[in-house]
Amino acid sequence: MDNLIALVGNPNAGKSTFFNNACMAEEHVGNWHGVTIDSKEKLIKLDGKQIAVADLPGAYSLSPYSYEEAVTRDYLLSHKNCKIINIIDGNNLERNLFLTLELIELGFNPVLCINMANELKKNHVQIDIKNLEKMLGVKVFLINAQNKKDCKSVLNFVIYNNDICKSNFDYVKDILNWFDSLNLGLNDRKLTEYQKIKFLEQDEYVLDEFKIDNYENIAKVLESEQTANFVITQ
Amino acid sequence: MSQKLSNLKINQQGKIIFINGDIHLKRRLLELGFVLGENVKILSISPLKNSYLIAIKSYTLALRKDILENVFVEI
Repeated sequence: MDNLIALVGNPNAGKSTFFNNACMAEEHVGNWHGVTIDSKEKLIKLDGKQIAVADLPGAYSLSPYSYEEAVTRDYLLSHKNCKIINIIDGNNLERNLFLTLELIELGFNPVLCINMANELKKNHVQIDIKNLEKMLGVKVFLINAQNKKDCKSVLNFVIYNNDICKSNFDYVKDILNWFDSLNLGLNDRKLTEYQKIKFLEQDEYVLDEFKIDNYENIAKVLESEQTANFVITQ
Repeated sequence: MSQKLSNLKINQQGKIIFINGDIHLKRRLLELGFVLGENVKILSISPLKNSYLIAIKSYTLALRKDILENVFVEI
């Protein structure tokens, strides 16, 4: 599928609300986390173009701790070409941006939607969108997911802009270079960037997938450098 | 003076200076906003004293005591 759009975000950020309003769907929503526990796709027509929108369960990161988070991670990894709308809760901007950063670091190129514009307005909170765009290198929208117009305009933007961004942070390159210089005996495996970073984080899924047998040795090398790495992650 | 976050009393505030534990725990706490230098405050403690309600950044979190024992704060 060429035009596949995935909705990603922290739990209770408004992904399903966006989904319902953008696709005229009637998914169950609630004001607590963990309502959506499986991915749901819906085909819609926008200006004569057939597109599929996928509503994914909320996740705090791409290293899953629960079934729903694993669904989100697996979906993103198995649909490499999908476009990503990252919906974040404007009231918890800082915490939600952690997932955004992770998406950018891992090369997913999301479009950012700061949701709950109405509440932000009510609380007299202003977000410096221009600055955020500059810092992250991605397109940022301020929306109210309950508003159908907002949802449509985001979808329109995503469909008509193919290379939304190819931003990446310098420190990601540093980490990747550092990984290559470690001499872990993995160079012939041709790991992707995602796998390299997750490997350093000792993500069980990536370690399992590669059936790394001499992991003990590698762990020792990593351990000595771990403290440095943790600082970088922060 | 540094001490475990779980040793703080209600309404006491502290600044995170160190997080103990393996990389998975550190990562998870990081995702939830436990960045070094961040201020945290205990809002309430459950009757059995095994879970804590804490305020961090602009939100509140409820966490088990054994997790908070890995977080060291400066008062």
